[in-house]
Amino acid sequence: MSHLLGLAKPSSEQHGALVPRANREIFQYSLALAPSEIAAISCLETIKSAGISIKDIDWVVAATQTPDFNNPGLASCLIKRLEIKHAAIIELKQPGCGAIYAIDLADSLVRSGAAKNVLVIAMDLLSRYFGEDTPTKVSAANARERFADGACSFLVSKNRAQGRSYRLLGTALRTTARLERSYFCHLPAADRFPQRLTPQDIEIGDHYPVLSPDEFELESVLLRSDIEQLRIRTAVDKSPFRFCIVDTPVPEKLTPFVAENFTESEIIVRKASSGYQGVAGAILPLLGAATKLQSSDRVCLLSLASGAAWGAAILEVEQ
Amino acid sequence: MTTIIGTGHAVPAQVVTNNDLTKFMETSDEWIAQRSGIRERRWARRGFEPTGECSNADLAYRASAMALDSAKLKASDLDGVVYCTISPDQDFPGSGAALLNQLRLESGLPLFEVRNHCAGFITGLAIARSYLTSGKWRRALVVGVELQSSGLNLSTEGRGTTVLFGDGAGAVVLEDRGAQSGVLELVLGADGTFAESLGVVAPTFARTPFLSAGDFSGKEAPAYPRMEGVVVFKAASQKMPELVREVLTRQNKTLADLALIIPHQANQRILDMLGQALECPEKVYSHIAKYGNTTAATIPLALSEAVIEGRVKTGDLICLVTFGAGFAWGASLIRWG
Repeated sequence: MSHLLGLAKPSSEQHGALVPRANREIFQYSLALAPSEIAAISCLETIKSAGISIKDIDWVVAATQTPDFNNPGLASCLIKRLEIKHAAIIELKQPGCGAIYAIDLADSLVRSGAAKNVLVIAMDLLSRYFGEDTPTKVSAANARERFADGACSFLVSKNRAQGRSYRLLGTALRTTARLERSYFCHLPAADRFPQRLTPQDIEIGDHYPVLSPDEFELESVLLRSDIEQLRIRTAVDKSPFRFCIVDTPVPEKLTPFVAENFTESEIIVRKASSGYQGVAGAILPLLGAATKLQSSDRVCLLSLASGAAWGAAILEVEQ
Repeated sequence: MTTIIGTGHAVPAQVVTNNDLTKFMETSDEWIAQRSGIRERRWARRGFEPTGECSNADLAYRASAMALDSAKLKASDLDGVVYCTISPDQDFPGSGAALLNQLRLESGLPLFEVRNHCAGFITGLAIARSYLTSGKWRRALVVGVELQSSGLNLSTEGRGTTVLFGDGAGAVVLEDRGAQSGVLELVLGADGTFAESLGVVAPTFARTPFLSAGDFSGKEAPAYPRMEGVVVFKAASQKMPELVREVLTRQNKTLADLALIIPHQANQRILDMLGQALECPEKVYSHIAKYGNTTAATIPLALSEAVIEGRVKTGDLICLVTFGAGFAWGASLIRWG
């Protein structure tokens, strides 16, 4: 059984602010900070909070769709900033549910004996797809209006350390074979010849992500089955969750499902009050809810997003 | 132990020779061959494929179907997929869902989209191994696939890197078996000091806008691959032999025990240095002359071909080794069985 500890994020007040975006406000980290700088701030806080040393980290998993470079991705730039030269790195691009996928992967690395301490950074700077005045096509308008920034980091470890920790009871992951048309970014498209992306694409704005809430279809039968199986597998099918944290770019489509399936829990559906924070959105509310949590409380994290993919994790508060 | 029970590969039908490249850039067969050992590569283009399709997911599907066939399994026997590429058919979500669609896995399964470039396949192998060893999965598919040809600068300004890359795919099916054969050792590592020495800058979220029309201009255009050749060559030539020795030492084996080394195919000169450093050039597998550098696909593609060619037999000890962008590296020692 793995432990999740050192949960941290870069200070919202010190490193970011709410900024206007299409008649609402979204959270944005300072544009002067590169993605790996923000990630490093968070990771240093995680390391400090867990009371471990950088040399204790043997794997780094980065889950993001907004790295410093197209390739190599965030993980390489992050270990450069943290001066880590002894760890393996994994770069995941699983929009929306990357954090849950990363938790499950880190747990597998720990349980298989391949890792002792996996540092996970889950971060998306989605606001950077658009500027305040970026003219966009109608298809990208929803994304522009909702996209915000979010970052958090934590360790998945074999052993507990100092500070708040969570026991990972179980996870469920699924990517369906549905070809996504509600939340996607078509370009660059490697199968477009001779060039996957051209200056003309950029001039006409075809390179922006598209979010179409009206086209979002919830695979509710499969999702319900996965959650039921997960509850049975982790032996929490009879007991309530203290919190159910749900993250998705289209919360309005998910709210009825969550209300129906998590009736006994205090439900936190990530609303668009500070915008959609991508992979970080499934974890960040845990920080906000920390003072309300007590030992043995159970929390369900659920994220749904692009690719008709989802991830769910059940955590139990240890201390 | 995690065992490879099936291998497969696929390449596009269209062969692009060095002479073909002279039609749109100043170069020559001699210049390219001397610097890289590459004579030709495969570039996917519509109209050339017998099936009429040539996407990243199509190549992945063909390699995966072959790997499943050789493992005598159906796609529905899989518990998870690890999809390694830096050239998906759309920016997000990646090509994984399209592969599941082609494999008729409509309900889906856990699928990892891994972006670890040249180290992608061995990283994917490590991911799958952790799932099999931890008991979460019984069988896994790991795919390394690239469609690099649509992301290259097809002018003289880009020739330093454009001539190197090709398209292709390789796949393996893995199962956890209690046998003595399988993945004996696997090491991965990275050093971000050289993150800017090899790769593609744009799209970049270190600035706004994340893409601009200007990213396609100039010798070091951010939208195209860039490489500090000398730095990469020096580091790869030093690290790859170290990695082979490291995995052998961990298993108390020597170079004499090795039947074959399957290295990442980046440049024939690096492969020559590897063979020279280990004093066993005859054991270093190379297909770079005909496929070029297919990034995450090089190792599974070479492995699949080596199996077909009879260069990997039951009981053989083989070593997979890679080094590339990041810098990131990895090696795996496998007892074939």
